[in-house]
Amino acid sequence: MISPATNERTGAHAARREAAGPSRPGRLLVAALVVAAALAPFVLNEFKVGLIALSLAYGLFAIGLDLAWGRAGIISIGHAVFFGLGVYGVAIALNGGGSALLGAAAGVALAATLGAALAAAGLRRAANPSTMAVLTLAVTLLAEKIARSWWSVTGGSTGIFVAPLASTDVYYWFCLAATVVVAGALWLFALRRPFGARLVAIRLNSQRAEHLGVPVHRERVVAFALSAALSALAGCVAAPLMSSVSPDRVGVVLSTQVLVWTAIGGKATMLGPILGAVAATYGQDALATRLGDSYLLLLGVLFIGSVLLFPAGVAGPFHSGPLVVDSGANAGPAPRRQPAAGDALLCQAIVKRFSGNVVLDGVDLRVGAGEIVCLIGPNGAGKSTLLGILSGAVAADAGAVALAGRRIEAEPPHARVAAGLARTFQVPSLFPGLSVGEHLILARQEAGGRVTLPEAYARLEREQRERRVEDLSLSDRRSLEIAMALCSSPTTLLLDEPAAGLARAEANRLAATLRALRDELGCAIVCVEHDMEIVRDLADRIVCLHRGRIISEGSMDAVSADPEVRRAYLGMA
Amino acid sequence: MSAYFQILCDFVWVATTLALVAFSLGLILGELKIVNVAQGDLMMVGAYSMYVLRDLPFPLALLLTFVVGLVLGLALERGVLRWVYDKGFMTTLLASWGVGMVLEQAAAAIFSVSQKGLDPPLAGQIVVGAFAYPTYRIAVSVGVVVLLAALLALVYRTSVGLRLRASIDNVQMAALMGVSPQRTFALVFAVATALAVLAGALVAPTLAITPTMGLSYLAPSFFAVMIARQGSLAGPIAGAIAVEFVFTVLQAYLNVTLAESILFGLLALFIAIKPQGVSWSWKKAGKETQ
Amino acid sequence: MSKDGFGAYGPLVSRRGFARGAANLALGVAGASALGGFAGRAQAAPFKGSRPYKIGFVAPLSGPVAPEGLAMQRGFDLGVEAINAVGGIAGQPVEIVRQDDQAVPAVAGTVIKKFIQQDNVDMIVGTITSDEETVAGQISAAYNVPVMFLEAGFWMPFCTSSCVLLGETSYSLLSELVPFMAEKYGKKFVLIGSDFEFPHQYLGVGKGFIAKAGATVTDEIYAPLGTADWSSSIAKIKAAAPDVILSAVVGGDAIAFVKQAKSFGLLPGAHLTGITLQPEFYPPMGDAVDGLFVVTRYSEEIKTAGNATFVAAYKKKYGEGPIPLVGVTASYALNFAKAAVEKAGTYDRKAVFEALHGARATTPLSDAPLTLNASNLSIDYPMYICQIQSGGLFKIVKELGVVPAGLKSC
Repeated sequence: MISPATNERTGAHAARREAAGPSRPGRLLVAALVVAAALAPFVLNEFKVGLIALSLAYGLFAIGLDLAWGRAGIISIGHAVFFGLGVYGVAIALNGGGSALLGAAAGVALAATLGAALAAAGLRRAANPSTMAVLTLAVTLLAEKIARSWWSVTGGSTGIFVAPLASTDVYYWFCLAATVVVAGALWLFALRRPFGARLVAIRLNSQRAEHLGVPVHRERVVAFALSAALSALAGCVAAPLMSSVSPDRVGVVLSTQVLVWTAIGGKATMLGPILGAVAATYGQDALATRLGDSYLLLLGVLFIGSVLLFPAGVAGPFHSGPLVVDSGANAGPAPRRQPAAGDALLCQAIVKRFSGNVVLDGVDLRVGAGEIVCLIGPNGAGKSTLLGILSGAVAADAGAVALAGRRIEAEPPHARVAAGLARTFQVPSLFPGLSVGEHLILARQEAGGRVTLPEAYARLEREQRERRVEDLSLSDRRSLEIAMALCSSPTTLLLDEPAAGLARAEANRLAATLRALRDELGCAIVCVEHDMEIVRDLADRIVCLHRGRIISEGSMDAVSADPEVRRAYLGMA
Repeated sequence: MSAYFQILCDFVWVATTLALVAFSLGLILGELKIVNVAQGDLMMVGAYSMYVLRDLPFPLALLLTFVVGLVLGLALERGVLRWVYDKGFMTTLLASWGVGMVLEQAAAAIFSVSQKGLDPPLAGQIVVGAFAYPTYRIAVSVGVVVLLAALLALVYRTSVGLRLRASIDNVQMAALMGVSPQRTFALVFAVATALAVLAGALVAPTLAITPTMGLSYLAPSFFAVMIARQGSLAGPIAGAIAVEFVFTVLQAYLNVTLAESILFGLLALFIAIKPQGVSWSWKKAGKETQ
Repeated sequence: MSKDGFGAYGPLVSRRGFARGAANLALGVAGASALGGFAGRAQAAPFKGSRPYKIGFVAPLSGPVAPEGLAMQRGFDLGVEAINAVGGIAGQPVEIVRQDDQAVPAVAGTVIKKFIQQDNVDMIVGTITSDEETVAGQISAAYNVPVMFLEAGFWMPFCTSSCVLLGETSYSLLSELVPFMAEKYGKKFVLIGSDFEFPHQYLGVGKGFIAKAGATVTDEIYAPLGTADWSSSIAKIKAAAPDVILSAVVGGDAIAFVKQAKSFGLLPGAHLTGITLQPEFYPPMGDAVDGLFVVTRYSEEIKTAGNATFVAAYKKKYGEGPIPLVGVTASYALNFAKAAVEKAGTYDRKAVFEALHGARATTPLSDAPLTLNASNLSIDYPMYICQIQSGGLFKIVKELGVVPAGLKSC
């Protein structure tokens, strides 16, 4: 399944491995590693201890990057800027005789601010993956130039000499503790919570996440800013280990290296980035002495090989189990929604142009509370565009939209969901690799609690909870979409060709289910449909669109007899 | 007056070679949806190829180098990139980074890291009154302009170009129309590689030839591609001209480091404000479906 | 510490040398007796060490200045062969550990720490750029491990407990060059350099001498490392119409600059000088630089017995081609180490460092041994003004005698 817009394509089985936490053997492994690491100073010489300490700091840096890349799916090929801000913050502070803590705080704050600014600019709706890539690349190149030229502050290309803050062994334990504590805190307080679940949703299918009510852009900015802060923190820890803080620590080479460590170690795992960083830093030193000049060539070949053959990285196999777990925060009932007073949905004078082509030319639509309206019309009439404008995925050029009396045309999709609008898509927009149960957990999380689902959907959840969406039939996938939509107690449901691709019997069942839904829940339904039998069964009122205008409204008989409608469907005959 | 001619000619020289590299990068990005960070290293291959063939007449060496580029592109596409198309944006980026690294190290291993040099086939200058400018640069600038014009004509006026643009726009649709994706990818990548190799070959006589010589072209060509609409083929050329124009103006008044820093800053700002790039086409676009 | 006296790196060194054939070995011995023998003979009762003297060699073998690092390593290897052929230091063969610092200060720091903390070296030799030298110096000073720098131009901003400079300084490179050029060609100077610390410092020193010679600086141009297009800088130079161009453009950029200066008609013709003109750059730069003058402390033409054997040994081992200056320096660095260790009578690092003050050793550069100044651990070298000949030979046109390095006393 290919997720649209700014997400990476994620193979279903790869998603399986990027779990929210390690399995049992994984946890034991982590514990064993921490214990072994704590004993290192008793076994290894001072240099090696210092090297491992530095690589742990790099591991923390890689975890910071992984939060943005592995978890939130944001591309950054300039993450060393944030790391470098932490490093330089501490180095400049110490060099000037100030407090290292103050320098660290300044570095982290600056990094978080810069990260938020970059994400806010680079992850907007109009952007594609390359935008963030080039933006972060530009920033890292700029940072390196500034670091190199601004001698008075950064020491230029020579850099700043940082004296060690404590004995090597003591600082090593500090690094180990910092890595474990920070990584653990991240896992417990961010990734295991709704925030982490939202990131999974955003990464797998940001469009569906947004239409569940997740404020996608805001969460991405937060994730990126947090990632930047973590990377800067890692830099602060690393500074006293480096001896010399030079401009290459903010540049594109280190930015690429941390991507490599994370990729090889295993994205979206806690252990993977650390393993990758330690193996690379330690291994590079070992290889450099053994192989001399050709180790870089070997590294390049190794890297290509691992990217091709082991996309999940080294730690991948240790992670299994569900991606999304119920944090238990949403066990109670969802907050009640006020029943709609007046019209469920109203839009006036909607105009939409695409590059000079007018797709919607002054559309007025009124949907009463609890009314089922079917939108019909030949291809290219603008039906899907209208749905997009109603749900917020597309911005109208002119016109107003009101939901239960409240103007929403300026609001993003997730706000409209919160206001009571829900939508399904022509091709069911679901989260690849997740199970039915996980989908519903996410939907309930955004709704803030549980609602009682109608029997048809409750049965789907009961019987197919563990099944992944790839293994569901088309009609079950559509049902899941509707079930998720229902979790938010919508006052208005937008359905885009819900019967497309269904067999006759399934389609009829769907129509019956939808009518029952409306009777039970009182929500209005706007349904784009081509299948006239379904339309006849389902609709209270039919609206026919043609070339961006409504040419007919009314009952099935009235509309089907309208000569304008016939002309639209059949041509001038 | 002569100073302005100088600036103009410098601008044309850099902008044309940059446009060639940006075009090849845009070709790869549009067709294969890959950000090829090894493009600079491909230029390096072209430079070294000319160095190896330096005893042959220049046009012959250039032709052979172009062929080397085609072969290399084909090998890379079939050998490495083919396996990463479906693995996501970052994987392809990292794979191409690995390729670049291997190319650099191979060059260092074969030729050692010491700088090599090549003499331009046309020494001397063209003199117009008080103004003199190297003949080689003018010849290459003119040649590249002709080449770019031919490429644009190929893309926008021939059926081959039409198939290419269809494939860029919608691979699956074009496949249904008979344009084989695999062959198109391989062919496009081979040609794009050969163009980058050619660009490197053309600048080689003016620089030191080292394994890392391509890196200074990477960022500007990326920016040129990014400020154009993705999938556009004329866009990167216009983008290169725009980027180089701004840089030339900045350089004329400020020192180079400051000029570069401001350029990067401006580009970052531009991309932040207009991420979908600028549509350089003045034709009215056709109907777009939601 | 290994038990067999060679360690993991020793065999690498000696195998490489021996693999080239017995003839080389014989030549090496002959050369060594000229290079290393004098230092040994000066001792009364030679001190004998209990274990091999261990030296850490750090150089950029990848990255932008890798050619220099490679040249330094080649010269150093020759020097090691020579020293070991006459019994090594304190009667023990010299053991070398080596690593690439990639011309990145952070990596250099790691390498130095590794040499000191893990490999327990007695002395460190090497690296090229001032950035790595600074880091190496600061760390070595913290651990009191003597470190010998071989590259030119570095003006040490600190007197430390460990740093020794065997290269020449910006002072000695410019003190005679500037008045020579001003007198010969005129008083209008234009300065151009790569935009990082060392060229700024070098040209800063140059400005002092320019003022002293009563000349003026019409323009000062800097371009960042990796600049591909020098046309705007060349245009600025032409606009200034200088008598002399003092250039601190380094590395691959130097070659690009010269080639483009040639294509714009600036060279040949303009009077360019400075650290841009290195012998090993001649092949790619070509005839554009024929006839230009430089100040240097080495030319293949220097007529000493030591130089004759050195040049022969170098060309035999590494083929024809210009001999980079840093390679020459690397070849005799160990002579000073030997002199100091044997004078100190111990491997103790502090004692050896003390003994380096005023240490004397033979070099290919002169018949008489040269002295490491006791006051500031640099060498006042005999310098020459050379003119570049067609084909790349740096021909001595004027002997300047001993030129002070110009560092202040510690």
